Amino acid sequence: MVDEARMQEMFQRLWPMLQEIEAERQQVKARMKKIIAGAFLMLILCAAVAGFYLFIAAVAIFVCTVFLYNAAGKDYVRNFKTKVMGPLVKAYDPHLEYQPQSGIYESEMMGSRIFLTHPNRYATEDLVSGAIGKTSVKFAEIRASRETGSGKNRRVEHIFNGLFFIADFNKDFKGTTLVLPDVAESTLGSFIGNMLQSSNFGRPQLVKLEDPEFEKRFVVYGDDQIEARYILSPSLMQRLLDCRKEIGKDVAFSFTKNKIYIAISGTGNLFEPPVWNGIDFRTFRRYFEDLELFAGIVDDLDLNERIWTKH
Amino acid sequence: MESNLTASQVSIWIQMASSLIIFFGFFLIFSAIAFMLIYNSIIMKRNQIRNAFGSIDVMLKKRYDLIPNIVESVKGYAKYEKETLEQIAKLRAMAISGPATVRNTIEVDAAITPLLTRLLAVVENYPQLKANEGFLHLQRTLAELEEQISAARRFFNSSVLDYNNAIQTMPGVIVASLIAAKPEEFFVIAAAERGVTKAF
Repeated sequence: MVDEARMQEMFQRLWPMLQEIEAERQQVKARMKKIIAGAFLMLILCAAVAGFYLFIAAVAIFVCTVFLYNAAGKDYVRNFKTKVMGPLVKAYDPHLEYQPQSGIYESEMMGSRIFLTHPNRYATEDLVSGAIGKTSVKFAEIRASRETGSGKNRRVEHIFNGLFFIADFNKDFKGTTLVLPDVAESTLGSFIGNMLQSSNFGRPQLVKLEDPEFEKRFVVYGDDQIEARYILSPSLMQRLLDCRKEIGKDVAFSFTKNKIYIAISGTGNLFEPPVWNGIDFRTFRRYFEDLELFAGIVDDLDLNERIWTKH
Repeated sequence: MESNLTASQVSIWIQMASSLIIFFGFFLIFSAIAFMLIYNSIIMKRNQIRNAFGSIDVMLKKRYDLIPNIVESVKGYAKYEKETLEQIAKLRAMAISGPATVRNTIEVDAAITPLLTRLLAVVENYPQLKANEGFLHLQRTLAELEEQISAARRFFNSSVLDYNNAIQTMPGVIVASLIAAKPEEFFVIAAAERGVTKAF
């Protein structure tokens, strides 16, 4: 749910900056149009000259186009991120910071124990970090994959592509508890699904909880059965379900080292500036909604409720 | 009398009898193995219940250890709660010295929890106590212990459900009747206790 009033207010505040960036965008758009037109022209010329060489020429032109395309937009993207996204994040919460070039370390991502395969290709960007209330948070985009073999035998295993979120958890605990999307139970029914779940190698032991809707959506693994239930109180289970519904994509949670890790896959490229569409209220709305969705996780999971010994 | 069987008929009978014996032998071995596996599984589930109860016991003891501290810190400020404090102290003594059965634990826990809850709720009337750092820490620790007790209780009930399912459904029910295994009871919070916790 978007806070309409807040969004309006921020839009008004950032309007002058948006107008500046909009001017830049239009320049970039014009440049892009010229590049595409130029490429098209070259293609026609080549076709007129020689049929065979057309193919090689087409490839060369395509490569040049892509190169020029990226170069034309690079400054614009950087300016957009620093001049629009930066202030937007700060205006959303003064204790938050946006660093487009930074991200989350691979060791942190693997430390969550959500993923079993180590990546050998890792890229991260668009880091938002700081604190919301008493909870320190950070989230960023991550693209991690593992490539093996070469040439014809090249295999790419996509490990994770999406948004990764880390925050302080409001209870102290010692081990690891994992809450992963449940594929088996929803497709194969509970009996066979259960059998497959408990024989999953490389994971801690299976934890079966009381909430039937929760069990259908997620499968829980934990080092300690009681600690898993201490963390996953009935109210938190409900909140995790609601969180998953609101985000609408596959979500995995991990509770380890006194933090909560959330991996949301398939979020696409967030906080990227538009090129073809103008920077108006509608596009602005999208950025605000994305930011509110992820930063709002802290309140959705009530991480600022500190009535236990950790405060 | 045509009772003499030919050689081939006899050999057929012998063949049938021997294959019947072999089949029966396999059946026995299979049943024995199945029985062993099911029996082991039932015993392990029963032990899991004992293990879970042990954990509840540990947490409850931690809470009972906390009570003297709470009583001490409240005593100075809340002169009007003397009766409640005395009752809590009495129940605590009962809890520590009484038999460690599931039923007894449930009963004492059911009696003491509403008293503790009421005591901590009443604290709202004493602002100096609310501001006291030491008391606040006690309150937080108690809240944490209550959550952990709740978690241990849930694990206990989950183990009981597992065990009861195993001895009441096929094929476990056969083995269970042979070893006279009885269903265990859940750790149920009394309705009264459930109602009072709202004040927390």
